[in-house]
Amino acid sequence: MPTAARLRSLLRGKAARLCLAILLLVELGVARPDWLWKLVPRSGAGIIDVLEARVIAHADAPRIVVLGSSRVRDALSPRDLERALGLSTGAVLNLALTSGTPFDALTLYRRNRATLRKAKFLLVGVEDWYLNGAMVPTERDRRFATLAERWGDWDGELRLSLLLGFVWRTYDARDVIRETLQAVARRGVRDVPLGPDGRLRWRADDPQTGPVDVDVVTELDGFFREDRPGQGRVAQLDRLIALARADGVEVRLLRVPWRDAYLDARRTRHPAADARWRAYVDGLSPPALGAERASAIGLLPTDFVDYGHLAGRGATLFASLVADQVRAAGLAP
Amino acid sequence: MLFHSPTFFVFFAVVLLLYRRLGLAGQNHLSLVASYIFFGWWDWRFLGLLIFSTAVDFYVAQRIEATDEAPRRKRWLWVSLATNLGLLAFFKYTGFFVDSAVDLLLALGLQPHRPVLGILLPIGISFYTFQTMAYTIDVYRRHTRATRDPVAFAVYVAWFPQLVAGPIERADRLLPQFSTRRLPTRHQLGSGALLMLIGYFRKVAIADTVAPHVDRIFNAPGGASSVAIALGVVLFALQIYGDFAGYSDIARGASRMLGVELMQNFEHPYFSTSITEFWRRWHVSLSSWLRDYLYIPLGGNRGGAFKTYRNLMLTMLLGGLWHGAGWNFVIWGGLHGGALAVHKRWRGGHVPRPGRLRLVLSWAGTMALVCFAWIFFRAHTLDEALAVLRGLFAFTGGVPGSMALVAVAAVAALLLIDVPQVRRGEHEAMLRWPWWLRGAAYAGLALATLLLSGSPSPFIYFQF
Repeated sequence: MPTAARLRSLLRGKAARLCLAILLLVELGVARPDWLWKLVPRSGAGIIDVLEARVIAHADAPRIVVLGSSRVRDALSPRDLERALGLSTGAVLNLALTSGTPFDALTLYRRNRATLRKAKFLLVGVEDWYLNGAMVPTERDRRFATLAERWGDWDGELRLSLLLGFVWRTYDARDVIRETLQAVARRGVRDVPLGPDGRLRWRADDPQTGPVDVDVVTELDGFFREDRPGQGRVAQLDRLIALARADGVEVRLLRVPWRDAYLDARRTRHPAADARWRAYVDGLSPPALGAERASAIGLLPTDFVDYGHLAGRGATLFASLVADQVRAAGLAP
Repeated sequence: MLFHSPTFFVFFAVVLLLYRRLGLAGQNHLSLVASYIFFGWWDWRFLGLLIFSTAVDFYVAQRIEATDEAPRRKRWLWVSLATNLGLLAFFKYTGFFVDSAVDLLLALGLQPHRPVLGILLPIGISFYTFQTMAYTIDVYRRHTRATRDPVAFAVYVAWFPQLVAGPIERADRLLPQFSTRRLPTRHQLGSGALLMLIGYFRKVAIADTVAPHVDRIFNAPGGASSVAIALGVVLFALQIYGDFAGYSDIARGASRMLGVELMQNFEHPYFSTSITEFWRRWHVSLSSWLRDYLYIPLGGNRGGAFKTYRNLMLTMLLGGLWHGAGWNFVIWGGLHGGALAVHKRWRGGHVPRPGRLRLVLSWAGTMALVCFAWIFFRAHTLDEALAVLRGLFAFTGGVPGSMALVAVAAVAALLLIDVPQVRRGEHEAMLRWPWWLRGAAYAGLALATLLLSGSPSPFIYFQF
């Protein structure tokens, strides 16, 4: 009997059939339906629904939409930017989120095109780790990526993992199921409230300044411990730009400054990643807005809460710099 | 290619489907190509080293068998030993010996230059060099015949399920399996798959789940209380068992599904009531290798008590050094060697029939010793181990609730798997459960493994 036939005969056993039935039940009842993915607001997947329900659903006519990572979220207060550009309240939407990637920006734009296409331009943050092809997919990648995107934007082991998840959604949903079970064990789902400036309030406090010295190496090594060139995120960014332009919406990329110590450590500890980032940024046309080195735009180490998230004072300074750049580029709505 | 990565699942499925369709020669060729792909996936540059070691021992064994002249046989044996130990010494121990020499000169007040060597450790080298050496020694001792089939021998050295972290197989057990066509039975496929499932559960649900807590304690012992450190050490004991026994289960299961039986590498070592018993149950393929090729040639327990203790100590010190090039591993081996010697002395050749209390105390004492020794095994340096010991003996209280919860869950998970195996006396005990319980248990194991899996982390023993 060939091996395939033997394997089939194994599955004819009652125990194997019961096991498969349970796995199928989890697949069809839990992993495939959408309810699970949006159950925990603080989860990587659920935060998209929170943004849509709390921010985008209440947006009337946004003029500038900010997308990107948590560094972008913390760096640009919509109210600061509106004030600096003389815009009315609600003209700026900041939809950046924790571990946000170009795929999240693309997903948010695709799902909320009717609202977001009213903007004059999208301001999309770019991060150095977007160019690291070894960074693992996020829950949002696993929730929303199409088969073509799983194949095209990823390579090697990660592509295989995403293709497996497309077929077997329980594999994709494993983090979400775990988070849900943890939330149940804690007997409660913690919400993500909306702050007074229209951004989601991720932190309990809102510090104006941060510490002088912080450990930048742990985060840096987390981004680049495994590092290889990857163009998947850039391809996602290109698709977002093409989609927005088709709607008549301009897209400008944005760099949020890092602490000087982070940049110095990146150059010495991960020179290949540093060189790749330099080449990418230097090749951007039009050049990205914002700035990279904190000291170059007058920011102090205490303007950061950690390696690269701006505290309140730093964010206000940065918003005014971005506003100047927006005006200089003739983009002001 | 990690066992718990999607790439391995695809790789293994392809091998499994092709394998059965082939005859003996085809199966061996496929096994060899698959094993080299598996090995080369990490770093193809080290493939040459594996092939070199294979070729040397294949040729040397032929030469040994071709002559009856003892000196010639011995000379050829030395060629094999020098080649394999030379490879091991260069790739694994050069840095250690150079650093130790520099430290010694510094201690003597000299100012030597510390060279930067940057020698990469080829994965699996400690395992396959021991396996090829065992073959040549067995041929030299006339315990086994030299094979004339280079492909079968190459598969014996490189058999992918056990290539990078064992079990370290003997030629007389494994080689004959490659000289007949393998037709995995339904039972082999089923029990092999079950072993793999149990292995994944041990690795992902136990080892990888406790790993962050262990890392936190060992990375910053100064910030933890004595109780937390003690718990961290216990968690490491669970981690390394889950990791290595899990690997061995997956290796045995995968191999069995291809019709090749590998030896049992773990026999529930944490149920041991003496250190001697522990070493009969822990990493059995290495401990039996050390016994047969080191302890006994050193004289074993012949030649009086002192020589027995000396041989035990030497064997365990070298066993420690086999694990890693560092003084912490030497101390780990020394602690076990000392404990084995003390136990031998104390037992005095009589096996007591312990009562229940004595059994519990013996178990607790054994586990305390094993866990204490793990501190040196887990620490990256001697200084790190001493920092953990200082924290441990500061006698401060307090332990994070999450850590205690993880410890309870890990012990429960371990008992869930091991107790039925111990009671039934077989590793596939689950196969004897009623079908409904088996079906639920398979699904439970699969889901628990899946839900607790993050990014695949390497097996601890890959570094050795």
